[in-house]
Amino acid sequence: MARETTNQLSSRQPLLEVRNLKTQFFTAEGDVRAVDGISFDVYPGEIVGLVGESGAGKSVAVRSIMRLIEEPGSIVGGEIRFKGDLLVGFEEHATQPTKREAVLSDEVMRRRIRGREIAIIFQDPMESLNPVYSVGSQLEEIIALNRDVDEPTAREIAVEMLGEVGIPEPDQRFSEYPHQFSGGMRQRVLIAMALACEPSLIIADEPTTALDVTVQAQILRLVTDIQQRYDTSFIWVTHDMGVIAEICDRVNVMYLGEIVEQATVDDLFHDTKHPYTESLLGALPRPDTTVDELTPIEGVMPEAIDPPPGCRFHPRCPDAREVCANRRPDIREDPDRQGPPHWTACFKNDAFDVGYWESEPLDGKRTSRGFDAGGGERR
Amino acid sequence: MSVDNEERETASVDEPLVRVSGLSKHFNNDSGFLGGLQLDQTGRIPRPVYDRSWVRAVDDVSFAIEAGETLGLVGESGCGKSTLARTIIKLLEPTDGDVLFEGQNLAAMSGESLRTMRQDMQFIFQDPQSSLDPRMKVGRIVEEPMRAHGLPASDPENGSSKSEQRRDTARTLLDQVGLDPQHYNRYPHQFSGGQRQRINLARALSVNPDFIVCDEPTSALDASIQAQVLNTMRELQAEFGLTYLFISHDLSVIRYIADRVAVMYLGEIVELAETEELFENPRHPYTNALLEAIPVPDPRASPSRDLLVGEVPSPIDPPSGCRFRTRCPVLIAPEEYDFSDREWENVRSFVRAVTRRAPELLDASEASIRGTFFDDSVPRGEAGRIVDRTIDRVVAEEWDAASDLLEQFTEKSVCAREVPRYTVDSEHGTGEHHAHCHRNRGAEGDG
Amino acid sequence: MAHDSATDDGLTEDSVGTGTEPDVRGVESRVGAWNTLSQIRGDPTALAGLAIISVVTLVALIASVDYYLLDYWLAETFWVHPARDPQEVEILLPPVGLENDFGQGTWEHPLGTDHRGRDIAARLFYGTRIAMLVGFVSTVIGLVGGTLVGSVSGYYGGWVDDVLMRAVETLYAIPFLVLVIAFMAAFGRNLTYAMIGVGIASIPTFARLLRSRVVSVREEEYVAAARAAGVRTRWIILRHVVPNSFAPVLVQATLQIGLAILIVAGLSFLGFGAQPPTPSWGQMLNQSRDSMLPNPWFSIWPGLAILFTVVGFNLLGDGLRDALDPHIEEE
Repeated sequence: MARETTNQLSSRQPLLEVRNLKTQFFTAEGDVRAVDGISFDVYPGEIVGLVGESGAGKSVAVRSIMRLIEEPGSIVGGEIRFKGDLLVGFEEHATQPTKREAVLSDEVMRRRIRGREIAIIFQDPMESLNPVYSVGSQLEEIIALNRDVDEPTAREIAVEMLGEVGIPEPDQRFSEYPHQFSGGMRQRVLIAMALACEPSLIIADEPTTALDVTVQAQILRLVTDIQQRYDTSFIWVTHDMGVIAEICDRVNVMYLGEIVEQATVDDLFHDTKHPYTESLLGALPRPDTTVDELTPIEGVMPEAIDPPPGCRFHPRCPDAREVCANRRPDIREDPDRQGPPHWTACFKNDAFDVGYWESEPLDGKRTSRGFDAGGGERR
Repeated sequence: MSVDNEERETASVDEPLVRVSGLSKHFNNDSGFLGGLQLDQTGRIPRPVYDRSWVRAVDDVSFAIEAGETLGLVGESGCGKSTLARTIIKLLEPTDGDVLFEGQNLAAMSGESLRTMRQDMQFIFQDPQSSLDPRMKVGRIVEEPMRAHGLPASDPENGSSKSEQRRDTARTLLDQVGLDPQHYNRYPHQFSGGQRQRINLARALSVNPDFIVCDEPTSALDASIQAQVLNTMRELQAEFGLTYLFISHDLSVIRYIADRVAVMYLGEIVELAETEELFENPRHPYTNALLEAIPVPDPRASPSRDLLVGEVPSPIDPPSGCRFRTRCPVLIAPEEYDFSDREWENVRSFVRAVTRRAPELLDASEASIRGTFFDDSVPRGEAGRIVDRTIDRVVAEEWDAASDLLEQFTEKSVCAREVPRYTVDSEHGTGEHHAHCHRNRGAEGDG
Repeated sequence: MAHDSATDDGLTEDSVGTGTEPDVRGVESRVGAWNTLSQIRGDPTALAGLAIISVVTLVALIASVDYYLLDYWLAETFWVHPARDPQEVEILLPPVGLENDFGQGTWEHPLGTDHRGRDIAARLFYGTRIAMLVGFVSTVIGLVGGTLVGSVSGYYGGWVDDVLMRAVETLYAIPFLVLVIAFMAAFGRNLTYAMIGVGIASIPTFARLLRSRVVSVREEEYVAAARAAGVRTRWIILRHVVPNSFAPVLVQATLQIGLAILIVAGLSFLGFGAQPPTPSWGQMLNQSRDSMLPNPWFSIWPGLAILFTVVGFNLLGDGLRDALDPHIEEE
């Protein structure tokens, strides 16, 4: 596992910089602000986690990095830089979203970035593999396409990759079809495909969610092995805090389109700052100890189509005060902090001077039946 | 058990609410009456043979569920836990065995008597969306089981009609499971996943059952919603005196909700004990492997561990003896060969590598194989000769021949020859601890 | 590349599971007749179909009232009797404003006259009645029969399914027209038997369609849930299975009306449908065969009438399919 200290990391250039990224979906019901101003970095050789519940905007965020957002959605603001190239960039003060000159064209994006520099692994391996072609030929195609090698060489590399990700008898399984593989084996094939072009960044979008725990454990081990051998960076999207704890170096916690807490994995679990992260951890049953009573937050996450004013978490937050309902916190670093940086978007953070502690608690004003507090209806 | 059901209990006090004995469910692998027809290609002219293969999804399972407790049933996908649940409440016809529920054998019941019986046992499905009819309003959904069982049984006294009475009950139930009774007239799609599962709970509770089978009721939900629903289920259990059979693939959830836990592998229960005992003192290598594999939500927890290798064998032709033996990291040495512990450990890892055609065996030379697997000690005598010949076959890439040779070891192990059935002493609590692994031979308790 | 294929699931997956897209447009929200109507309202082709069918149905209703209750009063008073030969014969006149060997088109016969001098407009008008009657009656026969066979066969499965489906397939294996003509040869050569014949011949289509839906709906968890709750089988079929399987059958029924009209027109053309002097479109086409060259309009008008009506039902059918099937919109 690549748990370097963050001091080492910060002395290096980030591989990927995401700044104030905004992605929206324009629907008949209104504009869904799926990702609403998130910023994070990925350094070479680290595994960065992106964790949150359904609808938090994790998948949209990572797809925005690949520019894979399709109608009716589009990226409407912010900047994404990868190895000096501008993948996404908007003029800052324009009234309409205006793309900057330096942004890579779709053609360059497709030819040079996707697959070659940044690869993505999806949750459902069956959907990402074409059922009418053999697994090997799909892998071979990608290699031939992206590595400028001839067919026999591509085939050789493909077999080697299959072996690399732990598929027994890669020679024979090369010509088998996706349905002949088990779920875990298919996910290994996808990892092989992602690795095929030796990208510097792999985005993993819930790749182990559909797998059994024993198979998930095999895949996680494979990923940490690969990460060490190739020094590849990962963005790991998941809703599972256990997986985060197991493989990530740094973690971003998302809530309703925003990153609310950003810290090293150890700080996130043992020096939790944001009430939402706390509530996530409080809701987890544990395999290793007996938990007498789970203490989940009440309610469900509201729809991103009509987010609450002020801090988006305040209607469900046990620590909410009046100021939280009126002003929206950005994400800030704790000023007095020693050690690795730890960012939170909460007025309890001393970096804010908005009179949180003097403000009235909001307790009594919230609805008694939390789960109907917001977004009870879906349309 | 709820108070108003007491007079129905005619069975003796000691009898558990549910007793499952020798229950099996086999599926026909080929559908249609010509499905079993195949062409035998061995001869010069292919000739048709009639051969049906059976998927042994659940095989000879026995256990009991006491009134008022939660029995957790855990296992990986395909282990047969959902089939078992559906067979217990007879949504599927059992192939063999009995299910005694409140003293009556469900396996022998059918038709109207079975339908009436369903009032006392309800089922909650994994997918809260697809288990609700999209074209029915929530109120009607909750009332449907009452209507089917003719509830309320007698005309209410206050002059309201039966259907008004049902509506009142439905509203009360919606409130009890944590929904707004005002939502009576909404359609399922207007609710979130967690709320839909609450509707399912309300429906199940509407006929005041004794026993609820829950098939992964929270695995489609987010963590915080899952915790809310789990807490509600616990509260309802206390309030209505319910008995749960709670199925899940998630050991953490099982540890939270269950009083006793059964672990399933390939159609069989391999271990069954009280929750604390099972998690703190697991006595079956499969349970161990499962526990090792769950990621603990704590970065400081030791990142284990012995990972289980290979994949679950086909339930059409499960391994003899102990079904877990083909993947077992602690397979017992056959007595015929005089292995030392170290030798047997080496042979065992070599066997597993050959079985799954491990990458380190591909294009390997004899020396490299010896270096990898038999570095510190090589078996002597007859066993040594078998190992030598196997290595030759592996180098020649004749995998089947290699596997055949190694079967001389694995098939002679007690794990392959005898079906393990053991009960051991509990270290935590007083309940019985069944752990079906031959390693427990000699460590058996009095139970 | 394989990766790109999985990216378009953007907003469509439900967010109950682990999908992280916002659930803006729940598939299940498309329930109920009002919803279907509002879907159609936004679909211009379906609206066009609906408009055509409304007009044709209205015409057919007026014609029926006049025929059954008033004995061609309308025609006698304002027009020309469609079934009786006129007194002064002006045969094969062209539509108004055109000229052919037989004379000049006049406003008296706006669409011209046929080979016996009868007014084409009047005969088309009354032919609508036959067309719609045939379309609806035969489709209702097929729908009721098919629903019964399909739902029972699909829900119970096993030998019931085997027996019913083999019977239906036998029926299906006989060419449609041959079946109808054989039926009429056995029972009689009139319109009633034509309708019944077409109805019976369309049972297999409905039965197979509904069965295939029922077989999949039967496996839905809400059906299992109802079973587990102890709900009676009859109730499950009526309240859960049929309502949730009916959408494609409804679409098929709409298309089938158009098809039935076409088929009975064909039968009339062959002399098996409505017998003269009752006016029907197919029969008009048949009679126009010998006059095709001197007055092509004699065959063009009934041809257009059939075309419009059938296209109208097809447009509405396609619109209904889009409105009732959530998967098409997702793409």
